[in-house]
Amino acid sequence: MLAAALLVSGVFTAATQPLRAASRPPKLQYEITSLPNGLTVVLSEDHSTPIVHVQLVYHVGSKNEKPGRTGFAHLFEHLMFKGSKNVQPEAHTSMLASVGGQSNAYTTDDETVFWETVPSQYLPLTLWLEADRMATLRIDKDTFANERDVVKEERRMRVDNQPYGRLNEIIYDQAFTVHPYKHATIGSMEDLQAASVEDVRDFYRTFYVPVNATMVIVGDFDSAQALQLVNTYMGRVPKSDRAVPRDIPQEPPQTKEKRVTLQEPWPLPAVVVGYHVIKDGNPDSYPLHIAAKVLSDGQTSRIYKKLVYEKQMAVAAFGNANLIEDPNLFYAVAIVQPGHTTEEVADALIVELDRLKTEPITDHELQRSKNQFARDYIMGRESNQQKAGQLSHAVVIHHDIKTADGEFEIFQNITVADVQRVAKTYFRPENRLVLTLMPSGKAGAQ
Amino acid sequence: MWRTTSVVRSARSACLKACATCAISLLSVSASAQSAAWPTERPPQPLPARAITFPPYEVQTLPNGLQVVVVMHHEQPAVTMRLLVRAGTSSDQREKLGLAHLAASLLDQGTTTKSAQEMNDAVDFIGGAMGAGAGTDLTFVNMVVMKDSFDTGLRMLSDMARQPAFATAEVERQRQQMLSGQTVSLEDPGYIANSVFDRLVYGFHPYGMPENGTPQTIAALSRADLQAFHARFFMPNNAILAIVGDVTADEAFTAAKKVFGDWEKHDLPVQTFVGPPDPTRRVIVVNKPDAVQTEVRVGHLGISRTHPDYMAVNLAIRILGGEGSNRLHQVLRTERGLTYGAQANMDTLKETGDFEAETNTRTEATGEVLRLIVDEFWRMQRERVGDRELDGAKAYLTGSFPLTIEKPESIAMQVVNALFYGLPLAELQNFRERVNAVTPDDIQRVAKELLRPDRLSVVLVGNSAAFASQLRGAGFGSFEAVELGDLDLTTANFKRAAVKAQQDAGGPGRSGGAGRSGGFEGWGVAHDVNRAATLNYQLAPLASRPPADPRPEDAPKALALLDRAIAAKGGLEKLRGIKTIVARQTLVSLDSDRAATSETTNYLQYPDHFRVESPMLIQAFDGAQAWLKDVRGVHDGGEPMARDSRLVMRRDVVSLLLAAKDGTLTPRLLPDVKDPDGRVTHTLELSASDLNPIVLYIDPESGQIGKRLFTADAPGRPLIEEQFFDYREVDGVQVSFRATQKVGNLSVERRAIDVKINTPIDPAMFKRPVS
Repeated sequence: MLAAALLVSGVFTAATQPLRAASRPPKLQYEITSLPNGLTVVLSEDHSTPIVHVQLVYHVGSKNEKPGRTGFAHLFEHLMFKGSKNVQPEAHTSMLASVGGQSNAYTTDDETVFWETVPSQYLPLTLWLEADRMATLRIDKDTFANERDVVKEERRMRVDNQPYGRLNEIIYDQAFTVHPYKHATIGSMEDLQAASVEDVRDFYRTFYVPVNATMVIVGDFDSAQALQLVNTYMGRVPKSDRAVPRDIPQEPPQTKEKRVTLQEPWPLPAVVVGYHVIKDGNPDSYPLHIAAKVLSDGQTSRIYKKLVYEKQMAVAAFGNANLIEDPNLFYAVAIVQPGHTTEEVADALIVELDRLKTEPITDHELQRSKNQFARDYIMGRESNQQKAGQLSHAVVIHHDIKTADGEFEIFQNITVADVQRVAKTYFRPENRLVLTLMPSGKAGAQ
Repeated sequence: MWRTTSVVRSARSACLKACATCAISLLSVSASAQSAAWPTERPPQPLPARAITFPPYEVQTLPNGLQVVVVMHHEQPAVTMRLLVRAGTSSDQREKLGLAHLAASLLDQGTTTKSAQEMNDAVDFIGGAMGAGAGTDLTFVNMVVMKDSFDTGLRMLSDMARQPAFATAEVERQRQQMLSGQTVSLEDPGYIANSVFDRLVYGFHPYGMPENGTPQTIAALSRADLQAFHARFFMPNNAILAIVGDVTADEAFTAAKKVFGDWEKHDLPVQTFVGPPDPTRRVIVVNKPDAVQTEVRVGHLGISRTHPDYMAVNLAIRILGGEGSNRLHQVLRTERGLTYGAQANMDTLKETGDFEAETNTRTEATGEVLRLIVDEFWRMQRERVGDRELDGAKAYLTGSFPLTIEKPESIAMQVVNALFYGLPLAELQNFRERVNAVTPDDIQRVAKELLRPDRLSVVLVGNSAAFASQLRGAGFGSFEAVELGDLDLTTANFKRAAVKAQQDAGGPGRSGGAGRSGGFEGWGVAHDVNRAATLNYQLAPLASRPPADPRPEDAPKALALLDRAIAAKGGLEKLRGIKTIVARQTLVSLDSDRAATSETTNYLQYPDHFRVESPMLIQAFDGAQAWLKDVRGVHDGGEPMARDSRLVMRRDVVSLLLAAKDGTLTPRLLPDVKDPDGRVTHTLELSASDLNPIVLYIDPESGQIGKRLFTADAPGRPLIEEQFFDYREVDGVQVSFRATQKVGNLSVERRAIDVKINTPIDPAMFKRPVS
């Protein structure tokens, strides 16, 4: 019945001729379909090793959190390991581990991803476990309170107890005013404490439903048999009776430069220069990726070469185009080398970003960036998990599975003019955030 | 690059047995209205298992002794290469800690034929990636390229391993990176805990020493040390090459022979290590008052990788805290929510190894967590492990085996590891059989033989004031506390020697930020004075002295360069005519904390008088007696400060140039230095039998001194680098109005406000006041 709905990847025609034919990686082979309850399913066979990877992506992340409930999406991800009708608390992980499998989950601003890699004969167990918790998660007060403490401990470990651990949190808090990207995925301690069991139930019924989920399976299986198993276990999860809300407040354009200086108990000062940019998949996003590579990928990239290598004014420096589902940031960070001021380092970063506007990047830099992109592309498709990640990202964030392969050609066709154009569009002073983070006295005493 | 937003959940599992006893199901409320219709059922049966074999690989040994492993993998058009040399941080001698790391960090920073920039550009341009690093027992270089660049990539790998340049400029750059990296690492409680634990367990065996070195040892490492390390260990009969990816075995071996076949074989060096100490019950608490969590490490000495009971011990430690069956995780996280994750690891290295339980917890739970961990060590001996628990750990290991051969690199690493430790390659094929052969009796036997719960080493890094009182309750009534700022991994008591010495001396304390000031173009007095007041030290040759004797034909060139520098400074007559200098200047001290600014006035009277005035401190030397005056009064600096003061005056640039001209210092030409932009700088070394060499960097165009390097006469012989900018003319003499001085990661900048030459100075200013 479902076989009729399959779309085989070979159907669409090859895009433009790549510039370096020798290194064009093979295209991913896959089938995509959806079940009657709304679950999207992608299957991609790879028989090189007798293992299978299952990735279940719920299209909900920290940007779906309501004010006062930051950290909730990630806390909920933890609760998904706390048992369901047929599965004891924590048994999800231990049942898979006992057959040699690995499983884990992570939460981003946009998605919550659950994954398993198991010896291939355990595909039925894996699907059964995912279906059980999608349909019948146990939610009780004690488990919830205990897990909330675990998440708080995670926050202390990852963020509060690490030098520069709060860097991203600070950047985003300063850069955004209303969009939920303002707050970190891990959330605040106060909000975590305020979360209630009722919040949990509501969140579950709203977002953890088949129509909001995409399951990608990559590995050593037979597609017809796998689809049948998916239908058997995932197919019986009831369809949701409510719409998934997408009412996320959008960030108004920034109209004048923002400069902020803060103190943090870190060993060395840090400087951040950031600009608001467009979302992932927008045509401008691809030249921005190239700009990030020119600035920051490798030891011949401009920021590293200028600030770390030549002037030795920074201990570390890098740029990052954080192109995700909603418009986000392009930013550069430098940790200031003792003996230099934050002002000169901030100026040096801005000079490098401005150079992208005033002069085209060289053909050499463009070709280098494209070759680096091809490398990342190839190295990012080695494991089943990586392939599944590429496919799920294309489906969930781009709403177009063809981008999992098609972006290769888009990148290879970018010109130096494209890069200069996007630099002029986004690297404007009024669109800029300059953040200076000075070590506070506490760390300095040592 | 930091990932921005992703938060990962720990995958550590709980055991099935314990979950069956949970009563939570009685309390739970299903969130789904559909739950009633959902079947109550047991997990489905697996599909028929598929055959698993270790993937094909080939191994050959070239005539020069190089072992070559090839793993073919044709899915993606890429080839990964790795060359592994059997020497790592454990080869570092005590006074050269950090050498292997510094050497490894330079392997991808230039060869004798390509500069660092040229290499990086070439690799980036072909869309490749390279890297190098040092482990405890090995050093490696890596290269990943697209298939069509395989030959190029292999040649570059060979150049990196065989022809590293260790260029002076790159050495300094990597040295600075290591020093700065340490500043950040020393704020990371996990890093601190691991380092202290290693030292505690391995003692002064190389495995216990700080593998990244200390600021002092890093500062003292020389280019000659790097070359010696490379010459000693980098040879084909001490290396393994792995080639993995989209190549055939023939292509790979042919290329390996072509590129590495002419690498000459040498005799292997013999290394002997001091043995690690027997396990001892000892607790070190590192106080980090701003910590919100405590890092906890508990364990003791373990086994080497080749120990005959390796597999049984591996399973025992997994039961304690590994995947498939993790008692620590069960007790600390699942049952009590005290931590995000807890685990037990074993390091099995070439010589020996360790067992280690690790976790972190909120400060107030430190005592309880420690007590629970220690009890789990006891329980491994007390109770015979159950069949189901052992089966869980075994099932994880055997089941996960196919997951360990998914990526071609991980296949290659398994083969390389077997070769490295000299294990039979057949073990790769019968891994699962060896796991399944372990019985509960084996586990109990190795737990009794090898675990020592009565002799655990414990490291706690956190806010000790908040948990110290709990330790008695956890069974540790006595412990040693160290302030993070005083931590020294190279001393027996983990405390910096200077701390103790200063306390013992009871003399004047450190002068503070405002006191960091000193002579004119050779300040740094305060540094040296403070240390000299409390410690004695030996003079030693300059770290960067090249091994070769000066070539006689270079002597006239050295004198010519000296004349150039003198001429650029104002000419011999002018310099000889300088009697005094009075300079007002702003000093900006850029410590790791904050910029401390102070204004000082320096009075110099050649050849050997000086006085430095800053708001909180006066330091002076009258040619015989050195003294200082602070808020508490006047203090005699004693002979150490007097000696240091003489050195300061001798190192003054004007004094140096004149002494070299007069023949009391020997000038020697060193090889030119080329910076990344291709700009060449001449270097001149000035030395005497009683003065550590000073290297001047002289601009070939202007003849001006842009930089100088020398080692301080202080413990650890830190390298001092001074750079001179903004030369301006004062009475016909060129004076640098802006200069920076770097010692390790400390930096001071001096900006001259006003400089006067040959202003009369009242001689009384140099004399020690009566009170």
